[in-house]
Order: sequence, then C-alpha cells, then structure tokens
Amino acid sequence: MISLLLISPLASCITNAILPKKYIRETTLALSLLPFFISLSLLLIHCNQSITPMSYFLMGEWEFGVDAISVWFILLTSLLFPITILLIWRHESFTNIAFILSLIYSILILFFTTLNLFFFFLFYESLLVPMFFLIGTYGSRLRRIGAAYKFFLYTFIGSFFMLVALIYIFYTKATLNLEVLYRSSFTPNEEIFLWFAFFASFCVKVPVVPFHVWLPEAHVEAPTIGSVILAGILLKLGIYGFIRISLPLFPLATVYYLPLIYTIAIISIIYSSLVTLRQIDLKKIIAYSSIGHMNFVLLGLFSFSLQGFLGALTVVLSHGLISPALFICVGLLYDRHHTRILYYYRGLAVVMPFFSCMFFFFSLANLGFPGTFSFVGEFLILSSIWSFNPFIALLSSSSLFLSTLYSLWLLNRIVFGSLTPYLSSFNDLSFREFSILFLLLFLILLFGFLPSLFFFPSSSFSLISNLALSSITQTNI
Amino acid sequence: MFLHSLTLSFFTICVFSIFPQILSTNIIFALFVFSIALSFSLLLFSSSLSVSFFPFSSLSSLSSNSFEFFVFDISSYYICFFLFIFILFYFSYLPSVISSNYSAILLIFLYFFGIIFLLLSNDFLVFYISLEFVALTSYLLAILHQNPFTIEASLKYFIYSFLSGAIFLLGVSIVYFHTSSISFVTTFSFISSPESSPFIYLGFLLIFFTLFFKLSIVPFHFWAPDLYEGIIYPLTALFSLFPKFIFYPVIIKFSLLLSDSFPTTFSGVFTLLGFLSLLLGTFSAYNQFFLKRLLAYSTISNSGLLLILLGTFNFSPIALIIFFIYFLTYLLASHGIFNFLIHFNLTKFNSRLPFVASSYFFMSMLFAVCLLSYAGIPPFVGFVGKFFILFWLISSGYILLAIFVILYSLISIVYYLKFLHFMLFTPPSSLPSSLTSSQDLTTPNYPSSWSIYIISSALLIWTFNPSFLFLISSNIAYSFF
Repeated sequence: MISLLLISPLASCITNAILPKKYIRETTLALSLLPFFISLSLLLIHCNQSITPMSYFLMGEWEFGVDAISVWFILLTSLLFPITILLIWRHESFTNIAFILSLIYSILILFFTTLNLFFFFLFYESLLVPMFFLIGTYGSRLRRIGAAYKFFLYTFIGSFFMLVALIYIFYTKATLNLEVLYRSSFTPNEEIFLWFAFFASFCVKVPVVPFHVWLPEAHVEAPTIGSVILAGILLKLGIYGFIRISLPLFPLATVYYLPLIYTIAIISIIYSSLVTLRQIDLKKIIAYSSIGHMNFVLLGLFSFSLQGFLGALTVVLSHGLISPALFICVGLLYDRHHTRILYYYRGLAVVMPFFSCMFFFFSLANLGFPGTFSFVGEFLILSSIWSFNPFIALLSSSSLFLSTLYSLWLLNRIVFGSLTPYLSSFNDLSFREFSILFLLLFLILLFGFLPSLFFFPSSSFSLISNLALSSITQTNI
Repeated sequence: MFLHSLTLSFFTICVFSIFPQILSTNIIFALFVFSIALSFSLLLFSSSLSVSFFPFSSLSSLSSNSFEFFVFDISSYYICFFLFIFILFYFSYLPSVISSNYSAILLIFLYFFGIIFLLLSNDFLVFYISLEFVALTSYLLAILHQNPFTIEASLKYFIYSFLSGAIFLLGVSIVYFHTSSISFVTTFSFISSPESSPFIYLGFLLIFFTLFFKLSIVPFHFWAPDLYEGIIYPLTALFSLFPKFIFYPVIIKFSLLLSDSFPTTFSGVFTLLGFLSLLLGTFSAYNQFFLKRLLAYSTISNSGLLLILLGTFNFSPIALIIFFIYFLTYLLASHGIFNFLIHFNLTKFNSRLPFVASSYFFMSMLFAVCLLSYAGIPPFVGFVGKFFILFWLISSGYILLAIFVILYSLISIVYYLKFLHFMLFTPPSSLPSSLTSSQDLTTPNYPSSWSIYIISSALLIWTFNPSFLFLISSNIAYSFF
C-alpha cells in the first residue's frame, strides 16, 4: 500500500515528461487523485505498517511507515495535489508546472513516510530545489528572484544545524533509524545541544519571528500554487519535525527549553498579528496571519497534554485547508485584475457575489469562528494552555482578538463598501474555481461540526504524546 | 609486459598520427583503447589476484640499470574510472579541438602517457621527468589555439610550472643529499630512522609544494584562473580534471609512505593549506561573471576540501573511502558541467544561458542535476560525499573545521544557484530577438549528450543506492594499503 502511495506521484512525474500534450491534463489529474484515495484507505484501515524496500549502506535499512500522525499530513498533501493541478488547468506551460508539482508532492510523501533521519533530512532539503524553480520561474514580478534565493538560503542555513546534529547522532548511536532512536536515550547535555540544533532548522520553517523574513517574500512572489503549497504543507514541515524528532527524542531538553518556546511563540503571535494589520498586499496579509497560526500550533504542541497535542494537529490541518483557500481567493483576484494591492479592491459583493460569499466564509474560518474546523483546534489549544499556565493562555488568546480584527478588516475592505472605481470588468467564479473552493469549504464545515471524524484514531496518537507526557511527569517528580 | 604493451600502443599512435590522411582519428582511438585495455587486463591478472601491500611488493617491477620502474599498485578500478572519463572526454570534447588543429591529438595522447608514467614511477627522477613531460605537453596544448589571452595564459603557466619544477628538484636534491637515494621506498623509509636530519622534512615539504602547485592549492593557485580563462574550453576541462587524477593518488601514496612522521609534520600543513584554499576559492568564486573563472575558483575550493580530508585522514582506510566517494562524484559532476558548457559555448552569465535552457530544456535540467550534485545539495550524490566528509571531521574531533566547511559550502551554494537563476528565471519571450534565431547553437553530438545522461542518472541514483559507488571507492582506497 505504501509503495503504491510512494510511486503514484512519481508516476505522474514520468507521464508529464513522456505523454503527448493532448491527454496530459486528464492523466495528471487522475494520477494526482490516486495518492489521496490511497491515504484515505490507509486512514480507514488504520494500520501502523512499515516496509523495507531497499537497504542502504552504512545507514541500515531504509524504512517507510505511516502512523496515525503522518497519515493526516499525507492526507493533507494528497488533497492539495489535485487542487493545485486544477488551479493550473488553463496555464500555458501546464506540463512543466505539473512536472514540478508532481516532483514536490512525491518528495513530500517520501518525507512524511520515511523513518530514517538521514532521509528525513534529505527530503527536507530536496524540497527546496523544485520550490526554488517554482517561485523563481513562475512568479509574477522581478523581485521573485530575490524571494527564491531568500527562501532557499534561509531554510538551507537553518537545516545545516540539523546536519551537524544528524552527524553527531550517527556518530554516537551508529544509526539514524528513528524507531531505534526512540528506544535509546541521550545524556541531558547532548539533548540540550541536539534539541537546539533541530530547533534552529525547524523554527525557520514554522517560522518563528526573527527567522520569518523569507515567508512573506516567498508568498508574495510565488504564483498562486506556490503559495498554496507553501502555506498548506511546507509550513507544516517544521511542526512535523517537532512532533517526529524534538518531542520524542529529547523530552528533557523540551522541558528545559519550554520558556524559550513560549516566549518566542507569543512574541511571534502578537508581532505577526500586529504587522498584518498594517499590510496592503493581500498575499502578505494572509502570509503574516499564517505565521500567527503556526506559532499558536507551537504553543499547543508544547503544552504537554493530549488536548493540546490534538489541538495542535487540528490547527495544522485546518490551517492547511483555510490558508490555501484564502490564497486561491487572492490568486483569483490577481488573475482577473493583475494587482494585489488592497486599495484597488472595494465593494466586490455587488459584482462578484459567489466570490464574496466564499471569501466571507474563509475569513470567518481564519479567525476561528465556531462551527469551523479551526475553532475546534484553537479551543483545545487554549484550554490546554490554560491548565498549564493561565498567564500564557491570556497572552496567546490575544491572537484570537487580533486575528478577528485583521480578518474582518480585510473582508470589509474587499467585499463591502461602494464599488471600486479602478476596475472595470468583473467576472465571478468559474465552475472550476467554485468547485475547488467549495470542496475546501465543505471539508472545513464537516470537520467543524463533526470533529469526532478527526479524533477517531486518536487512540494511536500514543507513542509520541505519551513520551512527551511521561517526560513532564518525570520532571515534576 | 605492461610497459611493453604501453610503449607499443604509444608508438602506434605516433606513427598513425604522423599520417592523418590514412586513418581517421576514431580508428586511432580504437587502436589506442584496445592496446590500453590489453595492457590493463594483463595488469589485472598480475596484480589483483595477489593481495599485496605497497611498497614492498613489486608486482611487475621492471628494473633497468639506473631507473626503477614500478607498477604503482593503484586499483584497477581507479584506472578503469580514469579510462572511462578519458573516453568520455575524448569523444565529447576533442572533435572540435582536433578538427581545427590536427597535432592536438598527438599532444593529448602524449599527455595521457605522461600521466600513466607518473602513476607508474617509483623514483624521483622518473617522477620528475614525467612531471615535466606532462607540463610541456599541456603547455603546447594551451598555445595551439592562439588568441591574445591564450599566449598570456600559457606563458604564465609555463613559467610558473617550470619554477615549480625547479622547486621540486631542489627538494629532491635536499632529500638526496641526506639519504643518497632517489628511490621512493628508500628515502621515505629513511625519514623515520633516528639519524635523519630536520632538513629532510624541508625537502619533502618542497616536493609536496610542487604537487600542490599542480593541484592549484592556495598559495600556489595564481596561474589557475588565468590559464582556465585564456585557453579554449575543452582544454579548460582537461586541465581542471586530469591533474586531480594524477596528483591526489600521488599525495596519498607519499603521505602513506611518510606515515611515521606524517601526523606531526605534514598534517598541519595540509589542513592549513586546504582550509586556505577553501576560504579563498569560495570567496573569489562568489562574484565572478566569467564562468571559466568561477569554475577555476570552485575547483580550488573543492581541492581545498579534499586536502583538508587528506590532512586529517590519519591513515584510516575509512577516511580514504570517504575521500574517494567525494572525489569520484566530484569528477563525474564536473565532467557533466564542462560537457554542457562546452557544447553550448557558455562563457558568461548573460542571456545566452536562458536561451540555451529554453531550447534544450531536458539537457539543461540534467546539467542542473550535475551542478546541484557539485554544490552538494541534498537529493544528489554530492551531498552524500559531503555528509561523509563532515562525518569524518566531526568524528575525529575537528568540529570547528567541520563548521567552517559547512559555512563555506553554504556560501558556495549561492553561486551555483546563480547558474539556475540565469538559466531558468528569464522567460524565453523576454529575450532579445537577436538571440532567438538558433544559428550559432549546434545540437550536442551523441557522445556528449549520452555522457550527460549517464552521469546525471548516476548522480541521482547513487544517493538512494550507492553500493556501486562505495564498492569502487573502497576498492581504490584499500589498494593504497
């Protein structure tokens, strides 16, 4: 099953290179739907399985596996794959972009399934190359080149700390297999050093505030699909790394660095929310707001309770649905009018009713309105932080207030008011665009009203959250 | 036997190349490859069956009266790899060189034989003669295609190279004064004996400096960028690839022979010079506009990295395996890079790059694979080599050095990405119209495009299944012990 999952995006890569242009769109779409159904069935049969297709010299076996945590990330990835394929349906260089996209998705699925730290690092880095191409080649302005470099170098510099840590682990433990490493332990000093090295690379990806500079740039300059992938999945790689590596491998260091995490996360939440209020570029608004959301996830992840952990996962998934939807909305406006400056848009409710409804809904979902998926996650996170430390909960709940402010402000500027005098012709959503947005809307509402759908495999969130929980009880004793 | 077949093939080439009208170059080359293959199959049968330890096993040492020839027990894998690269090189670059000047073929084969004799020498005098032989042929090769830059470059190379030869002779004479022998085995074993004077170290240091000059390690690197820029492109590739093939094994051989005194005296020098060339190569390549200069400086920095590994390798076979993993992938990747650049005649970061990339998209993607592997960016096998080098440095305690290596490779990534930026980030529609007529763009010939296919697929596949690479490099590494 997993090998099929790994092969299908690669197959779409190859078909893009080989097939004649006539059938390329339909074939790519069909192949992109394949991993989604596979991962859905993986979720339904709900198995913790791993296979060993190849052996790797000096590194031990190269193992793949899916558990209850990574299956959600894979599901999100494979859901966004057909959506991005649909988004570029009418693009003139469909084949090239679809090739790059399939490459990105195959690397992502390999990343989420690998159980070896070496390959974890390898795929974490490999993602940069196709994303560099995507931002640099298909971005809108000349500034895209600087943005592509920034994106590449920030992540690369961060991840070299991870490389040092990786080599250190390989040197001391003689293996990089995660399942073996979970059962071994490090000395406290080692843990403190290694945790920080991994943190340095993951915090660029999350991103936390001093290292967030690449994110708005990359988002603004990337094409719509680039933003969708960035916000939908690439921001989650850091969170996934924390879940996979930092929490279970270095529990003591996690507790040791707790004040650092909380301080940085709260500063990032408040700073990014305040910055969002002053932006006039539509994409930058959403980019900065996603910084706030991801740092909120960080708080939930490090609250050391099952609610907080589940809440973090929930926000990851809900943000993975909502922010791509918002980026798609902005991309639609950009496709029609070729500007992202807020001041040019006003009163679109009159001429684009479907778009306005959609935008209204996604803005509400972005601010965590009850009934949407994000509300569930934010509620869980806040309640778990409250039981951990009420003061931090108070500070972090300011994010709810601020996100309401900027979301409603953006909505108000774009949708309401008198019709803008700068734009002349208006087209509402086409069927393709409407169905993409409606799919996301449906999923957000579905999980918002029936969060039990998401929580039913929670019994097997076991290993990692248990390890994290046991570490906190140990230190309390 | 081996030597005889070698000389036989050498004379065959000479005779045929005097009469170019009779036979085409490909037939000469086929004869050449056949004779070389014959000689190496003899070598294989004689050497690889017996487990032997250099230097005391003379496999097929042919002693004449005054000189001592010695089949340097380098692995047949290494020779095969060398031949492979040579054949790729020959078929993909040389037609353009030879078509304009027919004596190039003779010079290139003479260069090749110089290399073989260098690898076979076991004696400082033979070593010096073949060193100068290589230098002379490469000097003649460099001035074959004359333009103002070429004359300056090759003259500079000539002067520097003969100066370094003089330094080598000085070193040898110091060694000879103290040991009264010019044989490698005798002199190197003499150094560990108690009556050896400190001056003998100076002699060996001078000998090592000559080798560093050939490898363009930092204080002796001034000729390299000028020479690379001045001469025609295929010869740039020749001069940047082939000296590495000869002189790294020689350095490894010498340092293994000096193993008693090496750690205390020479390893610091090696590490320092390697570090300096890494530093200077990386920073000088950073802002280059001309691709040849950029490649020259990146060659310097890569040589520095390899030299750092040799300075810290401490006679461990594992370190040598790591060395050859990096070495082989580096040579393959740089061959791929040169192959692409030569065939589209790309010399600057200008609008020709995006034009080539839009006309030959698939080829330029494969070029990007070679380039990213060269830069050590993860999905390609250059990263595996770099990972193991860092692993070796950290595990043997050179943590600060490892951090510097990481920092420099981070900086170097910027200028490798610049290639991709120039190639792919400009849409073909915005190019000037004078370029879009493809009059001066020739389709690459079959050997060169196939060599890019082979190399880039190897660079990609070896990351995920590197057993073949590890097999080759461990065989080569163990052949030195």
